[in-house]
Amino acid sequence: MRDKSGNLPVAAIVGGAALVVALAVVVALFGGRGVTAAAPPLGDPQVQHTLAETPAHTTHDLTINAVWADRPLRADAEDQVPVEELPVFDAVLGYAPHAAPPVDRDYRAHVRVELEVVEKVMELADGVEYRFWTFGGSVPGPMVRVREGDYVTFTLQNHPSSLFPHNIDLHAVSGQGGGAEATLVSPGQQATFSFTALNPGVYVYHCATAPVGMHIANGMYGLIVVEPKEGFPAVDREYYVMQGDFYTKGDFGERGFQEFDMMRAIDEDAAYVVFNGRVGSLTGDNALQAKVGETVRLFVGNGGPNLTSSFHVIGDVFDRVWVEGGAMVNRDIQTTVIPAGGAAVVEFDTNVPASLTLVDHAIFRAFNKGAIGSLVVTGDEDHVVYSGRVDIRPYDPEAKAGH
Amino acid sequence: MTRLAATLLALAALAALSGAGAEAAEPAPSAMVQVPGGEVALLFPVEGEDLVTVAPFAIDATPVTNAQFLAFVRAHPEWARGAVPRVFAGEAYLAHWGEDGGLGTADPDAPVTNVSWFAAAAYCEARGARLPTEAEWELVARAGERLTDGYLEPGYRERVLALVTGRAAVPGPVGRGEVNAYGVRDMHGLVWEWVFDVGAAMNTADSRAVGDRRLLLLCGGGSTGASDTSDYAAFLRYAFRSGLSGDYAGGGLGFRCAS
Repeated sequence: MRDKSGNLPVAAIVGGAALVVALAVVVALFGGRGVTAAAPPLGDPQVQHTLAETPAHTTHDLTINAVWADRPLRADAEDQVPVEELPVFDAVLGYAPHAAPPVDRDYRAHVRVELEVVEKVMELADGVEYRFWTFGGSVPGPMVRVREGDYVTFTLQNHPSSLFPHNIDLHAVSGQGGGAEATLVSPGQQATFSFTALNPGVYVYHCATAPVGMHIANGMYGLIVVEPKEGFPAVDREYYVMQGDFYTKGDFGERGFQEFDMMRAIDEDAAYVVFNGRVGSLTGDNALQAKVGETVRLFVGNGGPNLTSSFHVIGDVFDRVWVEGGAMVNRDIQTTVIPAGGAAVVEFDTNVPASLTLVDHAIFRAFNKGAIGSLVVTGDEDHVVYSGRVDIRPYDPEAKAGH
Repeated sequence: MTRLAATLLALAALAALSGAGAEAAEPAPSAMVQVPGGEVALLFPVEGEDLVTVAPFAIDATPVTNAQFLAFVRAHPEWARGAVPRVFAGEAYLAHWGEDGGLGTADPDAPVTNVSWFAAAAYCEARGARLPTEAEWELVARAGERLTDGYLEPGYRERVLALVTGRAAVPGPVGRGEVNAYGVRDMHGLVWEWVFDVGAAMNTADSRAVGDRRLLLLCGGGSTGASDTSDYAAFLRYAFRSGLSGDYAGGGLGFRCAS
C-alpha cells in the first residue's frame, strides 16, 4: 500500500486505526467475560439505560415507597367536612419507652392535646444531676399520635414554677414556626392553637424559644406520629426511643449537680449521648422486651441538639427501615442515619433469643457517653439461624502450618 | 433595779417591739447608684443603630423588696390585691403574700415578685422615680465584676448564665448576691426585672414588622441579626421579655426603679 515515497496513504492509516479501534471496542465489550449479558453501547440514543431494563442486574424493586407516598393530601370527602362537625377526642400520649397506642379509627377527627412544660432536676446518670427542661416531666416528652388529616387543637402549659418562657415547634405542622409563634408562654401561662396534620410521617417536636439550642439541649423534644389514613401495618411490639446529646461542665460520669455548658454545646463537644434522657434508660431492669418470632417496631427520634445518630441494633438486621420517618421503606439495613431533629422507624422480625444492643454506631458514644440500650428477646433457640459456639480449642499456628 | 438595768430593759423592749412591728415600720429607702451613662449594644440592634446612647441616670442598687412594696400598698390601697382591676394586674398578683394583705410567710427582704408592669410602674412613680428603660437596664447588666463591659472579662457570659439558670425557685433576700462594676447588685441571680419599654426590642417604626421582630426570638431566627450569639443569658432575658404583657405577674419577675 505504500506510495512511491514510502509513506502510507492517509486513507490506509485511518482505515487501520479504525480497525484497531473497532477491535478494541469488541474486546472491551465482549472479551474477558461471558457474552451472556451484552450491555448496549453507551451513548446509543435508541437504548434507555435504566436499572430495570438492564438484563445483567436482577431487578431491585424500585416501587419501595409505601402506599401513602404519592397520594394527594386532603383530597378525600372526609377532609372537606367542617371542623365543627368532627368527633372530638382527647389524645392518649405515650411515655417513652412506650409508644402511644395505634390510631384505631378510619375517619377524620378533632384531637385535643395538652402538654405541660416542667423544669425539674433529674438524674442524667447515676449520681449525676441535671436541671432538665421537659415536656410532660420526662425526656423525651410524650409521643403524640394522630391520623393524617386530623384537626389537632394543641395547648401548651408552662408550669408556674418555671423560670423561663417556652413554646413548641412540631415538625408535622405547616404554619409559622411549626406552632412556635402561637405558643410562647411565660411561667404560669398556657396558649392554644390548632392545625391540620397534612402530612403523614414521624416527626420531632421541640421547644423553639431563644436560645433554641439551650432549650433543646436541656431535653425539650419528643415525637409526634401522624399515621397515614390506612394506618401502619400491625406489629407485635412498638417502642419509643429518642437519642439526645448533653453538654455539662463536668465530664461524663462526674458526680454531683452538673450545669449546662454553653461553649461545649457550641463546640458540639458532648459529655453525654444517651437514649431517652439518661444513661441506663434502656439497660438492666429498664431493658426493652420481645419474644422470638415477634415483629418489633422502634420509633427512633433524634432530638440532637447537634449530633446525627448512626443507629444500629447489635445482633439483628433491620428488615425494614422507614427512611427518615417518611414513606420510603428500605430493606435489609444494618445501620440507619437519623439526623438531629429527625426520626426513623426500624422494624425487625426476631429469630433467636438474644440480648440485642441498641447503639449509636459512632461507637465511642455508645461505650463512653451512654448511647447504649438493650432489647431482650426470649424464646426458643434456632440453631440453624444461629448456632452459638460449637467448638473451642487451643490454636497452634505451627501445627496448622504442618498440614 | 438600777437605772442602767432599767434603761437596758427599756431598750431591749423597744427593740423587741420594733422587731415585732417590722411589717408596719417604714422600710429603708432604696439606695441608688449613679450610672455615668454610655453606649450599649442591644441584643437585637435596630437597623442603622448598632449602639444606643444612654444618658447618665441613677438606678436602685437592689431590687424592690416585699417590705418596700407592702409599704406602698398600705399607702395606696387601690393597689392592694383584690382591689386593683384585673387589666392592671393578673390573677397571680401578690399571690405569695398572706391572706390578710400582709406579707404572710414571704420574706420581707426578698425581691417582690408577682407584680405586674402597671404595679411596678406605679410603685416607682409614687417614689418620684420610674422604671428603667431597657437600654438603661441592659447597660447596667452588661457590667462584669470589675469592668463596665463584662464581655472583656474572661468567663463573663458563663458566669451570668450560671447565675440565671441557678436561681432559686423562691428568691432569697436582696443585697447578698453578685455586685457588678457599677456597684449594682442582684442583676442576674435573683429575679427577672420589668423595664419601662418591655417590648422595645420587638418594635420598629413600621408597625407591620412588629410581628416579624418578635419572631426573631423563635425557631433559630433569633440568631440572625443578634449582636452576640454566645450571650445565652441575654437570649434568655430577651426571650422572657418578649412573652410579657403588662398585666402579667409571675413568681420569678420583680423590678427595681431608676431616675
